Amino acid sequence: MDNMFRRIAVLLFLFIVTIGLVGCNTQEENKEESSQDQNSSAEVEEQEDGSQEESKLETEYPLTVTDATGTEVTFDSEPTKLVSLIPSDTEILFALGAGDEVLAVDDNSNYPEETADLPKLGSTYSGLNEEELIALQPDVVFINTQLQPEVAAQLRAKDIKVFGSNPQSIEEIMEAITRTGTILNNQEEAKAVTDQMNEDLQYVKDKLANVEPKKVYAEYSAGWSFGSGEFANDLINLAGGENIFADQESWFEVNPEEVIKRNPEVILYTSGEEGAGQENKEQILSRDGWDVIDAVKNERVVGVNSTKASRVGPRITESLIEIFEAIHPKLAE
Amino acid sequence: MLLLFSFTLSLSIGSSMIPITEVWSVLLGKGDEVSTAIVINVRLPRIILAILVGSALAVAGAGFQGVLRNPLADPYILGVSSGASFGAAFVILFGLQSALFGMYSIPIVAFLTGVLTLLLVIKIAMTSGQMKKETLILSGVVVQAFLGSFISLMVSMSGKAINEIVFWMMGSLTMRGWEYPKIMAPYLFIGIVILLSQGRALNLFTLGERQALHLGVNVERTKMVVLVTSTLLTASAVSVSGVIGFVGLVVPHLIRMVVGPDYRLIIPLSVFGGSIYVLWADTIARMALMPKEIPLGVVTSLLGAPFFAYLLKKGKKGVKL
Amino acid sequence: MIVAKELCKRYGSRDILMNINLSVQRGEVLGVIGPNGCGKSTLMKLLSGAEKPTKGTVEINGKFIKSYKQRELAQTLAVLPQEAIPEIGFTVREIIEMGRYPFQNWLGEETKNTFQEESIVDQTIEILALKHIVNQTIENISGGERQRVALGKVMAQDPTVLMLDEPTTYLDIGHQLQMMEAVKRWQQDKELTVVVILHDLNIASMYCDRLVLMQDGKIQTIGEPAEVIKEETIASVYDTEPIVIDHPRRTVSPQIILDPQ
Repeated sequence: MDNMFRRIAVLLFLFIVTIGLVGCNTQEENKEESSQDQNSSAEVEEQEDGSQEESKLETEYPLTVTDATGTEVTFDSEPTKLVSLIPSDTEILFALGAGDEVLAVDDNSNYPEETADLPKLGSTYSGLNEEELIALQPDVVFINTQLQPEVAAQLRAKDIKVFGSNPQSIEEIMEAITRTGTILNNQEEAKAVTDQMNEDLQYVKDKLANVEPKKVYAEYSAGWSFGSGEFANDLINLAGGENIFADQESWFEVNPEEVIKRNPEVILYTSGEEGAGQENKEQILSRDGWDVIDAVKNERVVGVNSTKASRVGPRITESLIEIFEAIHPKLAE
Repeated sequence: MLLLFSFTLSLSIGSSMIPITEVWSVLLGKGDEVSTAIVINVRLPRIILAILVGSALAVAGAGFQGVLRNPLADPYILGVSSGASFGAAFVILFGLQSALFGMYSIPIVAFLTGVLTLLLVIKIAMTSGQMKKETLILSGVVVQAFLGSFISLMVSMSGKAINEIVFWMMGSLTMRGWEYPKIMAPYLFIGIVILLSQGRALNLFTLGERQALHLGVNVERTKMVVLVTSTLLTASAVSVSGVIGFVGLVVPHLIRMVVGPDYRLIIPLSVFGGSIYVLWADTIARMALMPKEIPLGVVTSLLGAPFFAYLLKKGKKGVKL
Repeated sequence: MIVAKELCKRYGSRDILMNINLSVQRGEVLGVIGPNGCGKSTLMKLLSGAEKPTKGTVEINGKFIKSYKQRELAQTLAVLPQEAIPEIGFTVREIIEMGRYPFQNWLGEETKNTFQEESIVDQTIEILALKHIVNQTIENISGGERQRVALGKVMAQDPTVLMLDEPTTYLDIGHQLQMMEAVKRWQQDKELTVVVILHDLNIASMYCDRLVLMQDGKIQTIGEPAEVIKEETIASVYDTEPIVIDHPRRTVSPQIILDPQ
């Protein structure tokens, strides 16, 4: 009995927290944070302007940048001992060519392959190994303030320099890449990365000119989808789709009746790297009653690499193209 | 009667607002394609599954209460749900959802680990061929605590924002289709018949095991039959729906308060009571925040806990619990 | 008829019963007496098949008790335990009907002759004067009535062998005698073989054909009341010295008067 009560209480709590976290954060705090992002990127740009006279882009230290927690972070010299506690920042650091300066990453950082050899410091969900982190004496630790709301304050209390980011759109991701490039004095590399991303974006935009969006149902895991306010929802819109649950917010478990009623033209499900998750497709195709959905009738049920789509890093435009191709296969040819 | 009424009403209301007349024309085979798909292939199997799961849990609860002579016993008291959750969590954590038994990996593994847990509990509680009910409950608690810590560990290891393990444990009947009720129905039927046949023996159990023995009840065998049958029923319900709390506790209890202590009535009425309870809880789960789902276990407990508290309070005055 | 041969019972390393031999004839009432902890209740558990002896055998009506099926045994042997019926919410009639369990199939129908059940249950209610409370639940009746209901359940079992474990405990003297009279009338009517554990030596003396006096897991004396209820015997077993006198109105029932120093 006691056990029962406790379990229910815990589950209820978790449930509320999950909903709360995903819901509230995206709605309110983020507005603030994203405006801060813009402030900080504005600062960065000023400094860029200053140094752009020279042929090679160089960062001048000391450099002060305001991060997503609203804290002014000052770098006295070029940071060379880096730690990333979030996979998206890990990908950014490697994309900027700073991979060999990364001392350690979190458990979930698994891209690029080189991360496999790095020490792992735990994860926000299962607990961070703070002792090891302190022992590494990093110049800066990169985190995501939306997914790790308490980590910045925790580490700063222990005199560790933390830089938090929280990009909410592809533009903001590119800003974050530029900003990180500035901090690391890798501005050339950052420009190369963002140029490629802009090119990808433009490619999709050109293809979708004058094209009607298609109705899309996106399934994170069996029966779970999301509404507007989620980054994934914006990705679908950019890729020429319209989430059938755009009238909802945050992540939630859908009522299957409603999916049938709203009749999506395309169903996206999450697949792993290298097309894993084929069985999810079969499962969706064989659900009772779903045979009347257009997407199922026409077998427009397509897997999307969930890692790429969910990480706010340099591969986000690759994911955008993948989703675009999933929704509009004919245009992509 | 009440079940039939609930059935019809629940079938008629749903997150997709289909008028009742349309539901009826679907049932008569004249509905349009989408309505037919929703009513026949989504809503109907779900309602049937709710009925099956509800009756399995309630009747198993009655069985456990009878054999343990403890009105506070519920189907999860001997760790079946922890065992099943352990199995499900294991499958989810290691991404084996499709690897072992196709789409039925979670239910099959959860069922097996649930049953194995009971065997373990019995093994611990058994001393020289006899099980004392106190020892049985205690060893259930011990095993439950042990597995619970493993489940917590696995939840923390899975490291996802939307934790499938947690949501599995909160229970749900969505996305089950026709296959689940088809598989579950025959076993449920057999289980209920077996428990029904033990109703008279369970009445004698209320006098105490020794008196039951002298009235010709094969005490140890009856205990084993009822425990194993109730466990199989519980495990089958948990394996398809996750952990749905309070049904197995509140329903037989309520029935007992209304019709008295006779298990010949409590067991069959629990079948109906459990069906109606879970059917309505699931209807709320799919309706309240539509088109979102609320975990079913949350609804049953949210309804069940205050209701149970009320029963306890009221029971103190009049009816003996 | 009950025959026990070389019965021994051991719990762990403690010998509770040692080498008990006794036999009870059909229609005989055997009283078991002795101080607390002498093994009376254990003896009854072995004789009634509730527990297995460490050594030795018990025969009921010429058949080894261990070769009976539980239901078959319950058709022959009924046991009235010491504990009162717990407060379980059943009515008086429902509890008495429980006595018919060994004669019913799994649907609850009588397997012998259908008309009999009603009559046995009704007769029992009649005999024990419980008619006015048949529909009351066990919680709502008095202690004396509860004990009569417990007896009623055993009577409905219609056994040939009856074992009673201190049937008069918790009852006042009026109800004690009422209880014993009811048992006696039934016993004589059906020629039952009875084993009864009694604490009250005077009641044991009046209602039993023979008495077994037990001490430390062994039979100290066995015989008619007059042979067992003797000052020196009682004194040696119970560690007190009572006065034994003849019953003023009965010839075979010596009575005890306590006389603490």
